[in-house]
Amino acid sequence: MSRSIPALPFLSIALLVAAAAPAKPGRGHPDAGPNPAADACETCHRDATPDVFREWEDGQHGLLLVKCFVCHGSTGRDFAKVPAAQRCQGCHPVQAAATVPAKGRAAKESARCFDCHAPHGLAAPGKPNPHAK
Amino acid sequence: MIVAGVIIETAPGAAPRVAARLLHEPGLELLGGDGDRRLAAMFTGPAGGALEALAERLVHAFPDVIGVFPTYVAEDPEEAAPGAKPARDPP
Amino acid sequence: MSFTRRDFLKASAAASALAGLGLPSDALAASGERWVKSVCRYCGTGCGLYVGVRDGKVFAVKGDRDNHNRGLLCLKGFLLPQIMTAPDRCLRPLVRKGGKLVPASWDEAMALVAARFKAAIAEHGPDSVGFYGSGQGLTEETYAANKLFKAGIRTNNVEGNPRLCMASAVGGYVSTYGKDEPMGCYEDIDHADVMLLVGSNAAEAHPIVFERMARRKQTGRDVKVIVLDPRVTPTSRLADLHISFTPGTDLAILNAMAHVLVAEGLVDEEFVKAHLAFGEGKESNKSWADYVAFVAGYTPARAAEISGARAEDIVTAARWFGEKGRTATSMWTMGLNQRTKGVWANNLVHNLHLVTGKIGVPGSTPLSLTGQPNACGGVRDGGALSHLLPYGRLVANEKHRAEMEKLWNVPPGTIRPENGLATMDLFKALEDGKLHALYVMTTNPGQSLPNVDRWRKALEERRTFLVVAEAFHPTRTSELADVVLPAALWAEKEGVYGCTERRYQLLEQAVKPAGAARPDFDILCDLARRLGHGKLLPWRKPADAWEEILTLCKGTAYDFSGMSRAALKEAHGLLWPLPSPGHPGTKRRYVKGEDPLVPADHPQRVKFYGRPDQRAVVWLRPQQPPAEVADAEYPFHYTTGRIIEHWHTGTMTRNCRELRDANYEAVAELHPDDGAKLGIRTGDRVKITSRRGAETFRARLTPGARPGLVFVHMHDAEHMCNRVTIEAVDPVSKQPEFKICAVKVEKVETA
Repeated sequence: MSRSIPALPFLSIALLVAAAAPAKPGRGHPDAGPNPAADACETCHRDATPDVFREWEDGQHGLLLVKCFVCHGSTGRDFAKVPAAQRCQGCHPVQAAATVPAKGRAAKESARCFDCHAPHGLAAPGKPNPHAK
Repeated sequence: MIVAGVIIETAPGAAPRVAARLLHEPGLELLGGDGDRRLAAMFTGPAGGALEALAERLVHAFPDVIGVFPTYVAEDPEEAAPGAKPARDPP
Repeated sequence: MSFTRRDFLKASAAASALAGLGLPSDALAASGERWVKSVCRYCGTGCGLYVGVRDGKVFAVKGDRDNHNRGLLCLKGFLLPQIMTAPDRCLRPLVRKGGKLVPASWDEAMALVAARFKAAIAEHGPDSVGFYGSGQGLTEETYAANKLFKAGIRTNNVEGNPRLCMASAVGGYVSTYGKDEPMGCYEDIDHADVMLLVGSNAAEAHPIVFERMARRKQTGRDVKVIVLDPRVTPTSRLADLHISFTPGTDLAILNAMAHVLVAEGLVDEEFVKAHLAFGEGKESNKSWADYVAFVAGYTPARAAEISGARAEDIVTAARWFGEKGRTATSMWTMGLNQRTKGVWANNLVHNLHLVTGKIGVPGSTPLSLTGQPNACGGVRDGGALSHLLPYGRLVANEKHRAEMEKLWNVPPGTIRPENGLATMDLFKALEDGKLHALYVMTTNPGQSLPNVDRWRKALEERRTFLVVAEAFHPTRTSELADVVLPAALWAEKEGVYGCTERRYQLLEQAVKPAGAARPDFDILCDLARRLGHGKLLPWRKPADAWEEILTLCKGTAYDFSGMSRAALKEAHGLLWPLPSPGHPGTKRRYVKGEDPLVPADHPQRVKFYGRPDQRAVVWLRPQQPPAEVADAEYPFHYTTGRIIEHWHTGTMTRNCRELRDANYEAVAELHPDDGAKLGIRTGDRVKITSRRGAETFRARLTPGARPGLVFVHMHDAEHMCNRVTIEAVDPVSKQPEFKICAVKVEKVETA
């Protein structure tokens, strides 16, 4: 299902193109467009990455407005494609502690959360529950 | 190899400095503590007495360590050298 | 993707070792890390959390899973660590010299403040000075200011931003039940069959309360959610029924719902007979028959005509709410409070619960959601408003004044018998040159007052000596100050916060104050000494003041005298009343068996002990329009509000990396149809003009907007929504009508 792109002024279309372009080397994500403070991730990503956006929006994190930057950080150098486990841990300390050791091995730790939890919808259907009570 | 959860009991207040010295103890991964007199850690090592050897060593080498108490010990018959990655299916 | 046996063994080993520590796992610390129990700095949900400290700095937060929020935090709370090291932290005192604010020592700054206050008091009397505090101040800080000004300086000009936020809710509770504050708690959400949200965008303004509602909706049986809001917001995603209406006409809708309840026999006649009185205006001298006759006029059809809502939706909402055997919880915030008819709107929500008897049982309660983290604990309960004294006492009540004078050990007659000036009157006095010194603490009126340019202009005339105690500089208020005092921020000080559900919680200090900042508590004690009132504020630390506070609440409807500091340290929040040590606290007030202030042998299940007649009052409140409605010249309604990414005037959240680029700029949200009519597209600049002022914003066409209504958020210091708003107030609560005024919208620049 594709979403029709609304007719936007030229500048906003340029924004979309920029967002869809490959990330600059050394940067995780293009810096937000010319008016960063007035926009949010969804301004571009609703149309640039519609499946991912919809998965998030239809899931619990979307309903509860756990927005993109909570897990991914901000744009430019602050962007993290794979969130560190600390990002999950802040709100889910019990589950994170039960499966993740405290000393830092960021990528490996968050790989554990995402072993079972789909990256944006975040449900983990059919998986055994490894979280100690 | 064996996998064990342990509580390391220290003299009151000594846990943080003992923890600092245990950071590089082979096979021992610190998990946390109460900030006062107990540390929680996970030990992985070859089967056959490695856990007992660890307990003895810590108690004798560190005056602040009162005891090393396993809370959980399990044997994983798959032999693996310490530090090797466990076998995993690709995501 | 597999969880191998090795992984399992390791997880088990780790879990068992951690369990062996005998601590909740959140409190764990690897070497050098400490986790300090505290509370979120932001909204009135009051989420418990742990502040992670490493090398003397806050490096993380974790939700407290043993508190009501079950470990969850919203995105603002999650990003709190960054505010501590914000580049615009105010780190040293500033004094205005030659028109500019320059660094000064504490001694110089405080000496100047004391001198100017003393001079004003000597020349023009105690009422020529005032204090404007905050629902974000800690209870002990607010208490210190309240005592200093009312008992020391002897002026009742003690106000706070809850006047702009919760005063109408207070007025609603007090006029209905005789006492302020909700009788239910968050747990009622877990048992609600029906949730009625009016004038609340909880998904963005109270995210973790919204999470609890969502969980209830998702796991309960046939749970119905009704949302009354002119706008469709993220909150509406949870709604089974969303009712939009012309701003200001919700009184008609609420009355029409009551009409249906009466007409369809959904009232609880026994409850009505046993527990209710009826009133109009200020007198509770009406009868049930009068009430029935009154709501008879509010047919759903008439309400539909007035409001633009659909009659059948109003009927559905009423039927869902009133269905016998089902519980109902209402929640509301600024949509009802920030109105010239705010108290009336509050009364009408209470009415629905009272006539159906849906109150005081798990799942049935009218639960006002508090905006700020300590409006309840510090300002409302603590009595730090111009007409209040601590814990339910009134300035105007001679007996109450005498009680406080005795408790404060000051001579009889110390407390002035006339109310001080409410916030907008206080700033009017400033404008008139009658207020010579004002101390502002933890709030930003230079951005948050309605019709803000008027007050900024008055402040810029420099006839009032303005002291601003703030953690950040510049803010739109500190930039106007004569003295800026650097205040310690959140994790740098300790004290109590009291949130929406009567939950008092202790914020423990985690780190030292940055730079030369000092806790507001210390600053106020210092000022007291310099003004010669050191005996009134003799405390060395907030815990000392807390001991005194416990003596003031004893025997009142708030009685939390059992909440020792030690009890607060150990607990994850405690709900008052809690009248003796070891008492577990109170989930539901007025309910026999739950509320310790209801005698065990009371004949009925409920006792409304707040009023002498032991009854709650159903007030007959007609639909009346807001102070200013759209007309030919100003054809749009204008409303303001919050979004999830930011808090209030943005001084804290704009310092969080992720949030600076997330909807920080205030934009004008318009319905696409209005955009089409005016030739406006998303990204164009529009000028929004009211009779008072104008501001330019970028436009954003938003399908959920209501045609004829433009929404702008309050968080942007550069595009201030309040240059347009109206300062008209509710005559009882004196709370301004931020939510409704009339504007025109014109495109000024194409994107």
